[in-house]
Amino acid sequence: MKNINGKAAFSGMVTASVTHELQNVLAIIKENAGLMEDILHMNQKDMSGSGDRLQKCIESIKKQTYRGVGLTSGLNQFAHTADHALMQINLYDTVKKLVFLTQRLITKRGVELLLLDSDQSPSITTDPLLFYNLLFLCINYIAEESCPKTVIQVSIPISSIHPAGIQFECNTQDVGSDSSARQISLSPKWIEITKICDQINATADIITEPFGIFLTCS
Amino acid sequence: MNNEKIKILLIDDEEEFASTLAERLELRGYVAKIAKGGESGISLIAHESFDIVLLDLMMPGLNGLDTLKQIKIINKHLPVILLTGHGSVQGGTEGMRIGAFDFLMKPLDIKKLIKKIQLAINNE
Repeated sequence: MKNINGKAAFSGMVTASVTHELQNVLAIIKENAGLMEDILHMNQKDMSGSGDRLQKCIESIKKQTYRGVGLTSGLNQFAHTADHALMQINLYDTVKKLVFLTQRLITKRGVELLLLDSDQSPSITTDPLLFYNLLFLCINYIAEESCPKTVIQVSIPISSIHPAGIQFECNTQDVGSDSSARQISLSPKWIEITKICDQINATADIITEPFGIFLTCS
Repeated sequence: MNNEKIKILLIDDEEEFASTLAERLELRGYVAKIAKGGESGISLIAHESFDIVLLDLMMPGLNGLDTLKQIKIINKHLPVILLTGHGSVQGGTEGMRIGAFDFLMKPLDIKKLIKKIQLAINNE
């Protein structure tokens, strides 16, 4: 954990350990649901109508267990980002993980996130924790500038001009219209974005029509 | 090989997980024995005969990979399937490099596990 902020490293270490324990808890729940299912199948004839109801309950336990596994697994991977000062990350995979983990936070703001598929997403070497933070700040910034029910589309455009870039754009036109360049540059949230960009050698530019942010990574 | 003759050793420090999985395997005709850690697992393998080992990777004390190395010293032909936390692919692939037959992620899909057990045993 060399060269890593001590607080972030400690937080990451505890979160990674607890999520691992949670996965063990979920595995035990899943295995017990499986055992109940086995016993149910063995005694199906004696169960009359309640067999179907029990099977439905077991299916629900299994479904929610896998949901929990997905979330704890994502959180575990996120926690481990604090282990590395620099790490090679794939842009698409990283955005996908962030969208998965922050979906609830974004939905609370009344907007929706849509990540477009990317087959040829590039990889970059960067500080993974700061990069996650930067992605979230960009999404959060656009969400705050948008009206409710806006869809923020996230894509990884491949071009020779921007070999590693991420585009965040809104699906509506009536957002960001009162955000002149000067207002944006003075906004505390934008200053926060540019500060992180400086730390990881990235640049963020406001785009218009549709309103959004283009992040160039290197 | 007939299921009834297949003897499985399950090494996992999560006792409740191991005992439930063992019960499910026994319902399917296997004989399943549990060891709560790497050391006790190795001791059992040294004194008893097993057809296959299911080994958890993340255990306190002797971890899964070190346990695997010891197992391979005692009996290099004994197939071992590693059980890893979801998303811990790195540990699984490292284990296969050392000699594990394969790895599966928890929570387990019992059908996949049975298929993998049969494959590993038939492979031997």
